[in-house]
Amino acid sequence: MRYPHPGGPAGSDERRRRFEEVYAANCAPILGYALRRTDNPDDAADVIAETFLTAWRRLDAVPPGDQARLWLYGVARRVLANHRRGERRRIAAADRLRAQLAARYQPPEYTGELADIAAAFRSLPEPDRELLALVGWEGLDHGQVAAVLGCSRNAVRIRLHRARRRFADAHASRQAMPSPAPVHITHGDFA
Amino acid sequence: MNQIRRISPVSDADAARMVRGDALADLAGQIVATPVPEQSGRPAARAGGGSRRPGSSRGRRWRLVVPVAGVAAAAIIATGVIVLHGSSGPAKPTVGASHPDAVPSFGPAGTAAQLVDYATRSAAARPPFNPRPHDWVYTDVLQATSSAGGGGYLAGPPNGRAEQKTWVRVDYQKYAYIEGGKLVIKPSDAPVSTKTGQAVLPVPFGWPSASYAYLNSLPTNPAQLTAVIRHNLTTQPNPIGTEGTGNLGVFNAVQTLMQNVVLPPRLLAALYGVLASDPGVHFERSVTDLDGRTGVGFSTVQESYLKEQIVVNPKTYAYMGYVDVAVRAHTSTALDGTAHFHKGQVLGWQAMLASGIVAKPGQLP
Repeated sequence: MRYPHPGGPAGSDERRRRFEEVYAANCAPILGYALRRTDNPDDAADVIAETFLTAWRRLDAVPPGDQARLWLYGVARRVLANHRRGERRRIAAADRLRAQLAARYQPPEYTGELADIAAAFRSLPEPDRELLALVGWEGLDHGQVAAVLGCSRNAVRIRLHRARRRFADAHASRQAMPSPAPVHITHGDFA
Repeated sequence: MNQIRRISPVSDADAARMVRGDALADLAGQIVATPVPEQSGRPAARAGGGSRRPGSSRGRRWRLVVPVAGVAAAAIIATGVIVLHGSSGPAKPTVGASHPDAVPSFGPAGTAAQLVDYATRSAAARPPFNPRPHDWVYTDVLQATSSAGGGGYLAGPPNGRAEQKTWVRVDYQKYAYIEGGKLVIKPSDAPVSTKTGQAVLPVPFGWPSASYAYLNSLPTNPAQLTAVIRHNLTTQPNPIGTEGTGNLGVFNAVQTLMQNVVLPPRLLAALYGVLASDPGVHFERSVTDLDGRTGVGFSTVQESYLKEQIVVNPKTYAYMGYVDVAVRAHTSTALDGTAHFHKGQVLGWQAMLASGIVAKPGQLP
């Protein structure tokens, strides 16, 4: 879908300003989205850069308002999937961001009850994890998840119901097991 | 789902704290310096021709408007308030750029999100709205009346019209109106403060103040503004309704403010954002105001019968008035009597024909 560019014929200033708005409103959520799904800060920086590069190049396709965030989540999700398939692109523009994240981001280690939860979560298929994460981590409702994943709201409702059940089963079986070692939640395989 | 939340590796706010604003600004600056592939429907060349790439204007300096260090900066970043400004000047909306008083417009809004987006950007392109105490607030309001009378609602068909042009001084010490073709200026008849001896600004239901100092201090982020409104409703409850601090209470507080106060455009846009974020509020693609003008709007149905519609100018994004309609037959029983409404009955209809800030009474914006 193409969205009309507010303001009519888009001059470079207008285009830049629109991008600035999208970037300003969404850089923190996209940064969080990427970091939550990979424990490699380099990857996270590249995902952010590539996501917003896509937004810059396809600015006419970026919907207005809060819908832009959902659109960006969808792009970031595909970029992460490409990374998982080994199609990682190192983006030079993200060098400073990469350096800062590398210096400051340490994926959490979970112990005790949280380790059980994290292990159960990691044991789920990727589509289940993404559904649960979009709701639990990004705080999206069914309609917003549907927009990110490009499916119907009803499909989200059904899939989420099943994912929750599988998570509950996995968690229950984990609780029956001996105490696990500390668990990272991401390990870079979440995309 | 609480368990999933507990294992979230990092929050958006914490993620934002890990990077400095200059790194984010640097990334944005480099992104907009990259060439954009030509797309259908977009002009191939910018006005004035030449081969300059979009985003490659030299000398453009990027900076963070809110270069606050530490946690405060992160919190601001997390709420999306980072704004990158260049030296190339403000945006150039399609309408109004050559007329200092015209309202910048980004075209007709076809969705709630567009309305919020366009109104926000239009407001941002306008000068700050800071009326001085001795400025005057002008309103020209057209109100429907009924030959059957009324009392908070129209008891019969909206077959009458009453127009009122009023000037109220910003500090509320005087007001003015036209009577017999002449301007009449009077001291305010509002209650007088025992401390200052001056008339006290009336407070709309659900709000602690209607002063522009207060209104301009409100957050323009819709989520934050909603939180403020909910908080206000706990301390400034609407004595008329029983809608509480839920979504209905928020809608009514927003509508009350729009009806009673000429609002700063940025706050007005944020209030549209508040309404747009409420799943119980619907976007109306076409609403006709009392003057016959077509607008867009927001609506909600209260008490299962009363559809309240806020009318908004689709191009200037200004508040245009309201329309209240019974969407089903209803009998209202109250201490002051019983009223029967039939389906489709218009219970209230008002159009804000004009409004603005002027220097003296009798002046028009």
